[in-house]
Amino acid sequence: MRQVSRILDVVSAAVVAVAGFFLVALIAMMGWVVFGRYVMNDTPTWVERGASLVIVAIALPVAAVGVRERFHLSVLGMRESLPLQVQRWIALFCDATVGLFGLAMVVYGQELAAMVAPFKVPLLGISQAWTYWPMVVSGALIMVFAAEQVILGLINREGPVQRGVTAAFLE
Amino acid sequence: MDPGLFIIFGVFILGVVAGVPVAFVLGIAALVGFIWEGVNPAVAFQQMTSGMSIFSLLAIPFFIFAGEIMLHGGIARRLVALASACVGWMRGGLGMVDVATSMLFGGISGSAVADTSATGTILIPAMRAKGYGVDYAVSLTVTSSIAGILIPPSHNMILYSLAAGGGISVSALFIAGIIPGIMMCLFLAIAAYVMAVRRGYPAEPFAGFRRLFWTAIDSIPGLFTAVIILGGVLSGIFTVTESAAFGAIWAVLVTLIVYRALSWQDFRIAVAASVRTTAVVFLLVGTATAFAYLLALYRFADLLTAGMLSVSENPVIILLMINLALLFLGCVMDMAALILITTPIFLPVVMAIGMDPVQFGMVMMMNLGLGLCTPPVGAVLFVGCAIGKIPIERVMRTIWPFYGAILVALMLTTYWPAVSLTLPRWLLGYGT
Repeated sequence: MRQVSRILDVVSAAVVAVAGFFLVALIAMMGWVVFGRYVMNDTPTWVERGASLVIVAIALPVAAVGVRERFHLSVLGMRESLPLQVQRWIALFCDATVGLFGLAMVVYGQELAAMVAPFKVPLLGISQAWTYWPMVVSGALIMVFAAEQVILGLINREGPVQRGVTAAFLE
Repeated sequence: MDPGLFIIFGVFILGVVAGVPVAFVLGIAALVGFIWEGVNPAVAFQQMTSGMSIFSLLAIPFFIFAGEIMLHGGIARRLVALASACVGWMRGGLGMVDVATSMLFGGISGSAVADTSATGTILIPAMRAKGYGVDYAVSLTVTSSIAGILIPPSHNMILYSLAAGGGISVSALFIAGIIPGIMMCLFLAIAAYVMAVRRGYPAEPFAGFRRLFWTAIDSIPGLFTAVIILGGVLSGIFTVTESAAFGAIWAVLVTLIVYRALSWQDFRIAVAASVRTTAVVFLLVGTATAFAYLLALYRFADLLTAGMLSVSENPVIILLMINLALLFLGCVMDMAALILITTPIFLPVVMAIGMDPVQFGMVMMMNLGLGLCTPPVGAVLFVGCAIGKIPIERVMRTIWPFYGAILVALMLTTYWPAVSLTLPRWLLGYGT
């Protein structure tokens, strides 16, 4: 299991690194839009549509990493007031539920991608299926990361699955 | 009530209480609702994707990134120096500096937690060294950081605009937050002053006009970030998204070239933190969109409005009930999730009794901001206590005057529309 976890460490670090690169690229692209509009007198109109696609492709896979790093917002006060063994089983239930949601993202994301595949995204000229592929990828990652947490939770008989940090900057 | 509503709220409450991340609970509840109604569940994911693909939402990661860069790039230290030169000479001077710094830093970063982290690490130890009680230092740092949510730019206001259906001008919301934010800080400063006099805290010596001048000069490049963002939006040169991107670019340039405080390692940390927070927000936005779509199908807002009006038709009572509900929810849930969940529910109710949606936005920000400073779920309170190395129970014994100051500001913002709406009307012609 440790080897699997090490591989998943690399996968999650890679997802965050790629997303970070694209976030910085998006900021630069916005600068280019303004430069194009006021200096070149030629606004690159496709950037707006492209940026909306890219941000979803950044956010959804990193959201899957959040299942592993536990940085999603949760209300844990009531669970933590219960006995450790009960906490442990509830934590397993939560991870399994999140994994099932990941499965639904894969199934229905694929269905949506297939449905819109023949149509093109205006201004970009690419298939509209690209709108839904990030959801499929994210769903697959959520399933894998949630499965890892369930297995680790089953192996760790001492107490609840360890809490991670929250995305404190959000507030 | 429709049994479908019982089922989706049942799933939602069960999931939240069990500790499933709120973003996933919203998605799961929406999925169950669609299945119950015999609608293809793919619609939930279609709604989720369309909710996340709104161009103006891009401003949120850019603001978050700019705030992260400032957190690591030495801007907070300069703002503390400026605030110290301005108001440090008053009785309980460091408390006044704390409030003034929150107004300045919060006004740039737009984040209460970033404000507490950045100013708290400087001012809480400084207050301790000067003989101030750590409980006082932490209480004041934590509560004054709410200014970051009210004083523009604030990414939470973009979330509110989106949750309200995108029809509310983000510029109007930004401008509307200025007076409530300053007013709240003023009340906090009064409470801090009274406590400082009672406890006999000292005043700092006045540093002189020369020092005041040079600290102001040193702070200008950092403060200019807010000018770029607000000026760009108000003048119409930039959209909100573009101004946020320019704010981020400016923050990088200032901390890298002018202040020379941003290392490559700091930059990487800031980028990684930004994408993580972006992911949290966007998943919440996506699943909340699907959830809100379902609530709209059930006409839940109409049901709630009718229900509240049946209790009382007096707007004062209804607003009090909504304030209490938001305060309670703010104590047990996080801000972004609550904005996305409660806006489509409460906004139609307050609009039915004649409240302006921009004014309600300020009421919501203040309520949920206060929730960040209260246990059991109070990210800002936790960060402040961690920096001050003090148990939450000790802070809770003395934080009440500061809660009181915020509640006075909240009541004025709730019942006196001019507090929020005067500036948008003057500067943007809002509502005319």
